[in-house]
Amino acid sequence: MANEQKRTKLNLVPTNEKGVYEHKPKPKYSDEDLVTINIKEYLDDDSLRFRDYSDSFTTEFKIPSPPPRIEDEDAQEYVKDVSIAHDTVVIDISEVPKPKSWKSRVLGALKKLIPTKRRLIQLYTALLFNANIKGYIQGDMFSGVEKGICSPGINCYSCPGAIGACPLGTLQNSLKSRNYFLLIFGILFLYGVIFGRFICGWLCPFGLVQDLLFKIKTPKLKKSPVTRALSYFKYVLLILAVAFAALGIGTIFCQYICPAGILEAAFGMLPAKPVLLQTLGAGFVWKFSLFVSFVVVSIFVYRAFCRFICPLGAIYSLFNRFSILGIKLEKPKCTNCGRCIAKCKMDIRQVGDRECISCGECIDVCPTKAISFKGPKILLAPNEIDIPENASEKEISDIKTKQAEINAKAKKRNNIVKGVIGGLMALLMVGALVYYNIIKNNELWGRDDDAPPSIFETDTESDTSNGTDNTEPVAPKPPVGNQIGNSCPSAALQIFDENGFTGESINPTKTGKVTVINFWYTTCTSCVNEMPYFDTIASKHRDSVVVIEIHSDNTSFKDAFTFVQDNYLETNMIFAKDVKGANYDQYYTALGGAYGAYPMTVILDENGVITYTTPGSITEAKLTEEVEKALGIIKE
Amino acid sequence: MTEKRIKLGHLLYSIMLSFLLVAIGVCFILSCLDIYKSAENAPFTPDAIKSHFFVLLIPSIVCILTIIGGVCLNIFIPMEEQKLRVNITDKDMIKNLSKRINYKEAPKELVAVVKSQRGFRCAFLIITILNAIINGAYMILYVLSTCLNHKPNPDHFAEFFPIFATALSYAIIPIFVIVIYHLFSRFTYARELEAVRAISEYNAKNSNPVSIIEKKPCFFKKHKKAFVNILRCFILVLAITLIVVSIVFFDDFKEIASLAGDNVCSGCIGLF
Repeated sequence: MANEQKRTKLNLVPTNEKGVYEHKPKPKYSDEDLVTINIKEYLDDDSLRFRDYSDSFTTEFKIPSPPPRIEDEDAQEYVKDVSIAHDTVVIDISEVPKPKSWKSRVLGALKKLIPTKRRLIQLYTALLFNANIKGYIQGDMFSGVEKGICSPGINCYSCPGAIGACPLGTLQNSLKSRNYFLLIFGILFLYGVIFGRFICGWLCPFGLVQDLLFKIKTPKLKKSPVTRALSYFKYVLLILAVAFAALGIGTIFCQYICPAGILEAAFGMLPAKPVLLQTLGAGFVWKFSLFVSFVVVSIFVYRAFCRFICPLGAIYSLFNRFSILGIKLEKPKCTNCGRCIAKCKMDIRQVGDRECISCGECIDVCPTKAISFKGPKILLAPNEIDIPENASEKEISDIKTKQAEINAKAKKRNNIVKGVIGGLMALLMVGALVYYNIIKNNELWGRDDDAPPSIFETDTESDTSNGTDNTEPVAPKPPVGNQIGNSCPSAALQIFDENGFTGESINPTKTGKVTVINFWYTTCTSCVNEMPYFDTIASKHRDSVVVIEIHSDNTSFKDAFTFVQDNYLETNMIFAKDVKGANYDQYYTALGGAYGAYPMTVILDENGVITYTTPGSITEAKLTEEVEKALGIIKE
Repeated sequence: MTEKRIKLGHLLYSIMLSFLLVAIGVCFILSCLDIYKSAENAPFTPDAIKSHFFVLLIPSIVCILTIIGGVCLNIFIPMEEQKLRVNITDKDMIKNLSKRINYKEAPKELVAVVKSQRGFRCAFLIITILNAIINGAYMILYVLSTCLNHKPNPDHFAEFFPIFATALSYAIIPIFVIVIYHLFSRFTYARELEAVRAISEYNAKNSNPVSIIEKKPCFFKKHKKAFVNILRCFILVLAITLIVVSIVFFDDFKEIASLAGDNVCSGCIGLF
């Protein structure tokens, strides 16, 4: 209250007919008389703009809005009151704040390091959506029924930690396969109408990464009309991603653009499963380069990915104005001071518009408290008791005591609510971590109950030939395995064509020819894209090579018949179906496939011995070379 | 230490860090490319990765230390907080001034300037919107016509990039036009504000001040809250219906769980 003793009143009087008010004589800043304010011009009938002579701030206040208020933070520090008496504006002033001491500045800087509520929630959700921590150690993805639920933000479902699906990846896959799009549309509508872009600001793990990168102290690129125009680009990408997926071409956003795939899936899986490294090619180089570029750009440009690229943000932005949660602006209270727009780092034109991610940074700078969070309030403000105008001092002191009691009660209640919410959140997190890392053992639903019988056959012929016939010595057959030089596991697989199952089966080890086995499924873009190579091999060496395309039993098998009808009506390839096992498909697993990393190619010689095996895509040249090696056309 | 020197120190630090970060980013990309070019088949071996990225380890550590140093710099030699610079645009000023301007009693030349600037802006806006619609439609038609009879093609890059690049070029043109529109509108707003100010001054000298005419809100604005609530409820019901129908009748939930849980998204990782 030391300031109050030094308060002086500054009377501003009009100096000309234009409504310019000036304090005379023009004083300088001092301990006694610290500020002079010049009303620059009328903004409208009841609003004025004024500035001090040092030109360090420009602000507005209203005449005569009860109570008169100063709407500039700097001015608020020393302007205690503004009132109007006829044509004189009376501004009640206290001392100008002195420069802060080093101690207070250091403390202020340290204070800034304490994570905000938003940052804590971002960290919490990032950990919750990636609660399968053991996946990072083992390099295995979590596969459970919960993966059917999409997490609200960009969170790659191939991330070993992810316990939910990525809504954008699922949307593209659903449109591509023309399956389950009702569900994904339902989920996106639900998230959109409840959260809108609140998700981007509070729940998206990739948003958190960008927020942290932007904290690195470098010169920053500020928003401008150019960045505002660029913010439309994400809608273009959304249209293209949807169009390409709907036309059945591919999930272009995931394949060619999404940096979250590299950050979460590739960096999460590759260190634990170095075998996948051999499948990396040009696609990885492109995506890695793009990822590094995004990281560097995010240091200089606030949330560059969210603002200009993210199609998921584009979807949610359509719901932003009427979502249940978010930021709202009470227009009657708003004085158009522009502080909220100046504070916001996104390309907003108005609080709560399509670009607003509801971070809430503008709430603190709003001088009229016109900005607040939308949605139901959990923490309630205490009721305020009005003091009657003719109240005596005793009555006033009684009311104040009562008000203090109400405030204390409300504070206590709010603290209890905060404690309960915090406790529940902690419980949920601990529960999720324990469940996914200790209790749950990567079981797919129903698999333990109705695990199918084994498809593998015992090779009796080879067993007898190895030991009983002494007259013609035969080289012992290599042991069964999935490495080069091993005998391939023997199994009968059901054959299908465009009309469905033919009723026949094929055993890849007993074709008597060089056999090329390719594992695939219809929604795997890489699988589908490399299939023409196999078709070429099947046509070129139709007498000496058998090409078997084995479709996964786990994913999208129902589209396999249509796929064959649409694309391979006339082919020499044989299409067969794998059989679900305890983990992945039985034959795929037996031949060394893991983690669902399709496609996979295995080449057998005439005796069913593995001559070549590779997970991931294969080039045409490599395939031809390996087939010709198996045929003996070219020698190693 | 003076405030000026502190500012200079922070500026030098941030510029140095920027160069370091960009350089390291470029080095990482070049190393990745180098690994890719080092062998035809399976170039990304653990040894190749180690040998290429080990070189970048020291600069990376230096970079991390510099960032940590920056945090310490901010704590122990903090820069004075920058004041929030509110930019009240010419558009806002025009909006506020226009409320009490009497155009009927204003000089015709000034009114003509205001009208012409608004006309220019409006015309440019129509051109921008038309450009966006035409280019957008052309882009979609191009994608449709190119990809409708799509057959699996093993060469991703040869197939996708020309289509994608051409489609994007149709998007870049309207975005460029939007940028030009924004810059042009700034120019017109500035000229309009000059005229509006002059009219305001003329009004103040020659006529009585005009009070703000409160417009009657339109039906939609009057019942905005109700409309918003109806829309929210409609979308909420639609969303829940879609989810329930797809789970109960189509078993879509299992399909998504199977898609996301069983197979690695090879495209996401870059396994192609």
